[in-house]
Amino acid sequence: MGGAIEMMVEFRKRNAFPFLGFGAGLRRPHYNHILDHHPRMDWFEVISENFMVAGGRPLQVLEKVREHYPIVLHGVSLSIGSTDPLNRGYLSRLASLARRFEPAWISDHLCWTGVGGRNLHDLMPLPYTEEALRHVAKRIRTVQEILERPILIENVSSYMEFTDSTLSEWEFLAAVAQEADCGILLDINNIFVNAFNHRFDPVTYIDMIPIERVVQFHMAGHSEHGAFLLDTHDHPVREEVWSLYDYALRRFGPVSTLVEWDDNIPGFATLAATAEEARRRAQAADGAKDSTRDRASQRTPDVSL
Amino acid sequence: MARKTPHAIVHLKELQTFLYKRVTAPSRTTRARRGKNYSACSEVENVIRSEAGPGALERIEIYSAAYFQRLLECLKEDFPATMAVAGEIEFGKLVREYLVEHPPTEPSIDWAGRRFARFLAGQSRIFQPPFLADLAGLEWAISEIFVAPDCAALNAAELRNIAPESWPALLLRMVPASVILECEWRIAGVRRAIENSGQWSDPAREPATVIIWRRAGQVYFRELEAAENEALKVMSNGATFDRLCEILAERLGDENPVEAINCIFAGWIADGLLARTPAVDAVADGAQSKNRRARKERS
Repeated sequence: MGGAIEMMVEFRKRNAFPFLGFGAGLRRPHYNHILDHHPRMDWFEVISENFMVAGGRPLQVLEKVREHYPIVLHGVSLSIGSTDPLNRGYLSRLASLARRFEPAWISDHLCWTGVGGRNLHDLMPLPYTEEALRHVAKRIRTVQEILERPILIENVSSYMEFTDSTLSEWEFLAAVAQEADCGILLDINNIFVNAFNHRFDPVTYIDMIPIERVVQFHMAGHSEHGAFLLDTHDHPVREEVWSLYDYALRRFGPVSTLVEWDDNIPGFATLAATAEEARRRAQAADGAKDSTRDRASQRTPDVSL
Repeated sequence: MARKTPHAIVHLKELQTFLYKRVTAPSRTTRARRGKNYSACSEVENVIRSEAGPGALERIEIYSAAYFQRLLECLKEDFPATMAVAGEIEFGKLVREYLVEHPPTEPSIDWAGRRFARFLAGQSRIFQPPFLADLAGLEWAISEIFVAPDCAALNAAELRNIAPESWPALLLRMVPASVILECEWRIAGVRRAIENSGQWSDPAREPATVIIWRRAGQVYFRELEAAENEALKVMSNGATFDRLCEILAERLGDENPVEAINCIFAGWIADGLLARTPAVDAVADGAQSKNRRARKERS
């Protein structure tokens, strides 16, 4: 484990991934509150596509937010797993946005969103095969070359698995990150949702993810839908997901954590309280570790809770 | 782990094309689930695992339902007045048909509705109000202008800096976040009424021109009078200020149109419709340095 933490420190240093603390997704209902009051929030994650526009209020808002907070660009349409050619126009607009707003990092999902020039606007799962692994890793490398920076790739929630899969989801995610030499955005809620939907142990999933690759966590709420859990981002984080987060903190150490809320969006205070809860749990996990061994010398210099 | 079948889809592209068709054509999988199309059913089961828990069709239908629901929500947001006029149920049916004919192709979902007005123009349903396409066209223009390129607008002080002798040849331009729409129906009032109170009445079938523009992040629209419409059009085509005044004078038909022309220009300035261009800046800067030189010489 000690060696893995050293590798994590090395990976983060090499790729200039700072520890950002505890943040929230920037959403329209909170724009005015954030601009008027500059509330306490360590950082914001923004949906890249919402700001890949020519002008107008979205970009003005983002400029003002950026003056006060670190930001991260999180995309939903890179479609890294699609068999369509990479969309160079999209990547060029993403690169411009990154140059203008200097995000701490750029992330997107390990999925495909369209094929044949058409877009489903959904995060479609991939079969966990050698073919898909090689295909995705190669495309991530190309994207990283175009953007001139490493990206993070996020595990998605899913409601189907494929008969052709020869790897588990966690083996696939770990192998893609390794082969593409990219970071991982680990969505703890998605692991929980998929564990329920596909009947696997979420702890095994977390145990099999390479520590050194994990740069960010996502936390969100889900909803029950008959025999499925749906990743709806419209509820508070469930206690079982917090427990899994505690477990992940014990394995990965301090990781920048982001609260996502996309439907039934509550007031900003609820989001801030959820980010604070993540901070409290991270401090507790860190304290528990410090009482048994001194990790201070191993920690990334810019990490602070 | 893998459960191979004789018909399993091996290649990623084939799998994605198959899933795309299934997700965007929900009626086919529904029929299959009901046992009316066994071949479609077995195709899906060859691809999607269902040893534990819900069946393959049920799993794919989660994606189908989400696809239509997500896009419907997006179009409801972009076309609130169109939905109010069509009614929520009819609007939902129109959107489903629209998505079959014009599936999204852009990375951003915000562009999903870009052909909706044109699609409505090609429909002739008994219960569809005939002005619906015009109304959708206005609402789409509002969405486009909301994120159109930024450009500083000319203000009165900057115009005052322009020397009188520079005015006749002056080239003015509208801000890029503006567009003029030609409509068959007077739908601007319908959109405004729904925005303000939710109540509306059928518009008159009369040709109308609507200008949509953005000022300080906010999108505005209003109908244009014929003279103002023509002046804005010739201005966009590169006419000089002199030529603009001639057209306005002709169209207004007054013996002394100066006051009316001034009023129209004052309106454009107040609305933030005129762009601050390098050409105007050059003329204004020239006039300012000339004034500075004159002041220096006097002192």
